Amino acid sequence: MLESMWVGLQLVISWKVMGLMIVATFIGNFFGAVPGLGGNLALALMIPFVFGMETFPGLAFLLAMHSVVHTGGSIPGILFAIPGTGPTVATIIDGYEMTKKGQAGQAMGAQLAASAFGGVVGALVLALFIPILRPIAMTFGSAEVFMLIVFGMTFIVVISRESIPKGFVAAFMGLLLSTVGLGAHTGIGRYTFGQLWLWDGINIVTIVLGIFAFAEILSLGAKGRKAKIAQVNIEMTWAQLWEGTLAVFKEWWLSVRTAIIGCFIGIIPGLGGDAATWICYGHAVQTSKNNENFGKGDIRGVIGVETANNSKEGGSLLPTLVFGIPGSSGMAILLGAFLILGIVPGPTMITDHLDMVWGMVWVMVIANLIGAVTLYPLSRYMGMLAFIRSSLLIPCIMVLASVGAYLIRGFWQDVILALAFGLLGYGFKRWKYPRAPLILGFILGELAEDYLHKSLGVYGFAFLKRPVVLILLAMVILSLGFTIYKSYQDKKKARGAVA
Amino acid sequence: MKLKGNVVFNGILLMIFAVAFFISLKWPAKARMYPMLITTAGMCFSGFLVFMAITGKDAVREQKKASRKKAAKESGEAAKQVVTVQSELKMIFWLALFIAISLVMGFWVSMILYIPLFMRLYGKESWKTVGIFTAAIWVTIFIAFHVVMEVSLFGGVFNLGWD
Repeated sequence: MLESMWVGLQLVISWKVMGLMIVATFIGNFFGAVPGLGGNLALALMIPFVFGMETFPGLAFLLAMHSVVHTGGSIPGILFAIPGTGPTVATIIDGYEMTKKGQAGQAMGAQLAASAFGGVVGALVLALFIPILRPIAMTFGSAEVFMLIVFGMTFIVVISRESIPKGFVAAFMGLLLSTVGLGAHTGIGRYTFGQLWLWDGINIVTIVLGIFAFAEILSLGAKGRKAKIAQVNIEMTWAQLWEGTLAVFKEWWLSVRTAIIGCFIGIIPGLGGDAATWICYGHAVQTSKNNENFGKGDIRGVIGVETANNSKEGGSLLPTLVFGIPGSSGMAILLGAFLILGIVPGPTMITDHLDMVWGMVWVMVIANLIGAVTLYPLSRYMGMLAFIRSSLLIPCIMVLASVGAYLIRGFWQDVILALAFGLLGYGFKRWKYPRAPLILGFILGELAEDYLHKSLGVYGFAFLKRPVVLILLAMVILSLGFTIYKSYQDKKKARGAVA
Repeated sequence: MKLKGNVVFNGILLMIFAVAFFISLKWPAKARMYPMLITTAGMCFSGFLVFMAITGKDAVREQKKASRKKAAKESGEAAKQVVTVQSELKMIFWLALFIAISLVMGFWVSMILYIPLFMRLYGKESWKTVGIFTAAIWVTIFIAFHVVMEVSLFGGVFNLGWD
């Protein structure tokens, strides 16, 4: 274990990887700070850039970028009440109130330090779980993995709490797309329509670029060009930033608690960043003494949210790596990128590639520190990114997305396919279909079919009687039942409120 | 009767699942088992959504949406960002135009042609901004993909580019 930890660190400490990580943290912060872009789009657009790279540098680049997206995302939220990413909305409650009171520096200092702290704790929890999960993962055969994938799919329902049928439709669309190409167990071309370029199936990047990048272009463009950069004057001194940073360590017990809670929420696939931040904000309010200032600019509100915001990424990497079940939509895209880089997530990750897993832990630790440190002098200017006009953003995203769609396999048809997925993604966005289940369905679909055929081949239908399979089946039923019941209760409440 | 957008969209999804289901009927049992399961379930859920949209059973959600819209309008912010079918179609046209130019002329030429066109006509940007942005995007792509990664971008029908 210690040897793998050391080898993992050696993988990270090289000029090439460190340089890539610095670039990645800038890109991650940029995509986080511009509202409407976010981490998923950053990953989608940057995957083509890792094509020629060796496995670990490519991995470090993407993971570092993804780890810091929410660090940058909170800046426009604190300064202008414009959240850069979804989970950073909770930061606004107290962060923006602090800015209005002339305490933007303290809020920024606390946000950056808490983000770094949360990111490091998340990575440490991930590291802590590796030896615990190793023996569990080794007992899993094809039948157990299949049922685990089915269990992972039930989280589609959790992701789609707003409309469960829509979540299912999105997931089945993803599953359907995963069947395109030559069947691995039959050699029959499915939905290829005689097209050679479809024999290998559809690449995850084409789908992600369409569903996220092209759909965002359409969404941004349809709203019209935005107003010019606002003339804002935000006073922020180094002393204020330092004061905010120290507050994270003064409130160390709150920081540790919310970081750990955030990390555990990240482990549960599908719960997502919004849940982590809001739960931790609630926890901070409930457990703090003199909590009457929460919502009016209490620095503990910023700390509680921000530690959870970054720590959950460490947690969500755990099921992604060990079981191949993405903990979030960002992790689903990252999972696709892993496959492109030649890494096959699953139990073998911690049996055969433990040094690489440790390398990822180190990447998360270092990226979070770089991300926060570089933002100290830049935070005031990063906030201005929230006001970039769509007429300037759209051409950049459009060019990058189209080039990316082409470069995946060198087929021009993939560009057209990405456009088609863009229209589908825009439809999803327009009519409130969650997009993450489609990605989750696509990624898990191929694995599910593969393990289903393997399980049937080895055990026949008797694979359903294996003890671990039965436990997982019970968890599937409980998870589905509970979420559907909860959704029914919420709707009942909503109806009551409208009436 | 005016056809609602969500009915059309749900209908399209239902049609995709239905067509995929009928296509899979031609395959051997082992190859069609999994797609048939997926498409059948997909048809059930999308059919349910079409039914809900036609009968207006999701009225509660619509009502909530309407009250949110009203609140946003009152704040005066949303009025500037109203999405109309026309603006959506315009944006789809712009996106399709870029892809079409790229497929004919290749990425290198399409960037030079399309970006100024988009920024001037859609964004109403000044010539100075247009010039700087076009050059910046083109040079960034050139350095990143041609110089650093040494990959060749699609040259279009006329193969306009570097190999």
